[in-house]
Amino acid sequence: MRRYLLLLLNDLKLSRTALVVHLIAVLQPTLMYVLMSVIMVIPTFDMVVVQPQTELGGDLVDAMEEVGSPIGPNYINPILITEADTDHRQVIDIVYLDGIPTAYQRYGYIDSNLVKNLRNRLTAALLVLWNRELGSQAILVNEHPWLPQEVPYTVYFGMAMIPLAAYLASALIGGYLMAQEFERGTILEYRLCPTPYQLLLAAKITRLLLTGLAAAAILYITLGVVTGVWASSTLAVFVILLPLTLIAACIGLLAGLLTQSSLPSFLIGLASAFAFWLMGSGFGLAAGFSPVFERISRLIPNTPVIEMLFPYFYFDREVASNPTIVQIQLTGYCLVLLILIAAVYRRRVLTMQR
Amino acid sequence: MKRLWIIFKTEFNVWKHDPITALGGVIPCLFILTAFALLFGGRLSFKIALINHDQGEYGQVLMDTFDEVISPLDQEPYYAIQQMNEVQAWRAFEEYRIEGVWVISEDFSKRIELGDHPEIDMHFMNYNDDRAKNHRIYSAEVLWQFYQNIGQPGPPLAMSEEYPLPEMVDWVSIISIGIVLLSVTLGSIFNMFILTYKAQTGKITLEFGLSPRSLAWVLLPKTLLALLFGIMTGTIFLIIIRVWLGFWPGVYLWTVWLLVGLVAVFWTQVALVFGLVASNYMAGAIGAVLGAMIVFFIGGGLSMVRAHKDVVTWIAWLFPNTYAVDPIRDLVLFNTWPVDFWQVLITLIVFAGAALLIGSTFSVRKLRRLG
Repeated sequence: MRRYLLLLLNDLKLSRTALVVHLIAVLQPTLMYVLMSVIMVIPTFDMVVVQPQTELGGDLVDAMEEVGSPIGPNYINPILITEADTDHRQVIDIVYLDGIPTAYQRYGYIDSNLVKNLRNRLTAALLVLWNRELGSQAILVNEHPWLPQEVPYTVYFGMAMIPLAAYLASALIGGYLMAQEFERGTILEYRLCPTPYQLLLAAKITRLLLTGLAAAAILYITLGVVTGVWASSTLAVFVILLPLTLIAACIGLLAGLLTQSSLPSFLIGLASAFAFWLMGSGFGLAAGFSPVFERISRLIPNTPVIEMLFPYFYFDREVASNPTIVQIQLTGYCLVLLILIAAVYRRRVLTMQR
Repeated sequence: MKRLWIIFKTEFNVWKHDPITALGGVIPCLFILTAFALLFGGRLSFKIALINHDQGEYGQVLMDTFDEVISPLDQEPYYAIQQMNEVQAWRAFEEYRIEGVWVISEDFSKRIELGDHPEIDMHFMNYNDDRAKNHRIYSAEVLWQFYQNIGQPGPPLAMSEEYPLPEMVDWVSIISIGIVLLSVTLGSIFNMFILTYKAQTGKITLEFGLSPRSLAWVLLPKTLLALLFGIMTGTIFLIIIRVWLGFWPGVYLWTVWLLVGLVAVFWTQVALVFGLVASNYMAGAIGAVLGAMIVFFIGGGLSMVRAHKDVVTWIAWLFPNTYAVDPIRDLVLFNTWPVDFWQVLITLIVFAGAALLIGSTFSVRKLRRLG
């Protein structure tokens, strides 16, 4: 145990040789989150309307201001202009088509997602007018949301970035430090030392776990400060992150062992971190996307981790469809990678011909 | 000229020795493109269950209406109705295997006929406010169509719309152009790092510093090669997009190359400074690449800058990518000449020129002083 602790201490001290690398790898997701939380999609859209000349047009503008959440923001912020020009992403004009008063929406060069959002909002505003006219014949939609309050997207986005923070720091630093051992020739010392290699690897992995969890902790605190939302159990959050951080550490070390060069191992760590984040429920829970995406996403370790984190940020509501299977899945990944890293270490370091 | 050619060939030989890193602009971008295509390219309809207790006919009409209302996002209905009984529906909703449950009351038809405030209960997922918003505004689309289907008197204001192209450009395509620019950025950065790596680790920078010749002989071939490989990386992605999504700039290809080339010049200089003179080489490399990733996300990688100008943060405007991405989308996706082309071109030339000036001056001074 004492030897293990000394090895761990030695590995931790190694961070002094690459302090800037550590700072960048640990802080990058937090910086990205802070910047992206500023530009995060918000439900309120500016919609440009040519200043209406009729009472009906005025009613539409009023109706636009009624569209929104009863417990949240409005969805439309009407911007009145005197003349339609080509600069706008969309513009609504009240015109008569075949003698019928019509809200005519012209789009600029925009994508289908934006068209959808703008069309839906206009429909909702026009439906307000139609419902008014229908009076008691209008259909009332009673809303029953799943959660007692609507949570801003920045909370989910931040929560889903916590695993990325842990993964990125662990994989990048793991890959970099291992590759450095080859580049600087210090790997020879590992080969010659009498200490069991399992102990050496355990110290390295533990050190990467600590680094990954530290990166996650920084983002977790930032998320709390930015949004005011904290997990109901901080300890649980970090326990859940453990297997993913272990997986990242193993992938990083494997990249370093296999490529024996800093740049490509960094590249592998980077590509896997961002691919896992995007595919692993980084933008929304996997169940909310297409069945194909969901199936692939469930194979990626981030998705089960995010589903297990979810209740701690969202009023204890569970979304993991089968927690036992999820735990078995993560444990399986960890075991396979640990066996793999031991095998690759033996082959690349201990039995390598020089 | 001969000297330049010799150094150029030497640099090329260095480059050939690190094929994985040479793909630095391709590998992460391919992962990211695939991830986004899977994320937003599939069917995005909300999975919901319908529980129809209605004794009359209108409940069924409403159920049939769901399939008629098509989203412009993916040309599929907004809602994908799941076939399940009431118990299954509630359980699926509680476990978030479906997005919502609509309950149509038993007197729904009767109330419509009597004009007695017919009601629907909409249970929906609101774990983020954007999804909750979608439920509310999608339901308006369904009701709009339902009113028409049951022959209600027409709306006081009808609705019509016009899109400038015969076919709508989808969101994944918008993202794909952001990824083309990211690939150019990463391609030029990684290739510059390959070209400076051996110089840094082998301490050849000392020889550079002591060279009696101008250091332009060293910097120019590196910049040209990195620029070339950056543009090549972007072109690989343009071909991928042509095959996968069907978009191609056609006669505008040269213009696309010009714009991405100017962006690449900027990033080659950033990488040059980090690669040649940073005391901690890998920190520079990691910082530059992760910085470029952040620029992708905040500088219009995921959505059109023009359409969201008000939310683009000021930091994003410090990088050429934010200016270039929409004109490239115009050329590749909309096959139209960007209205702000000359303004963007001048901006990119200023960025590239300033980067060249600062990058080369800084590199030369540092190399001469420190080696």
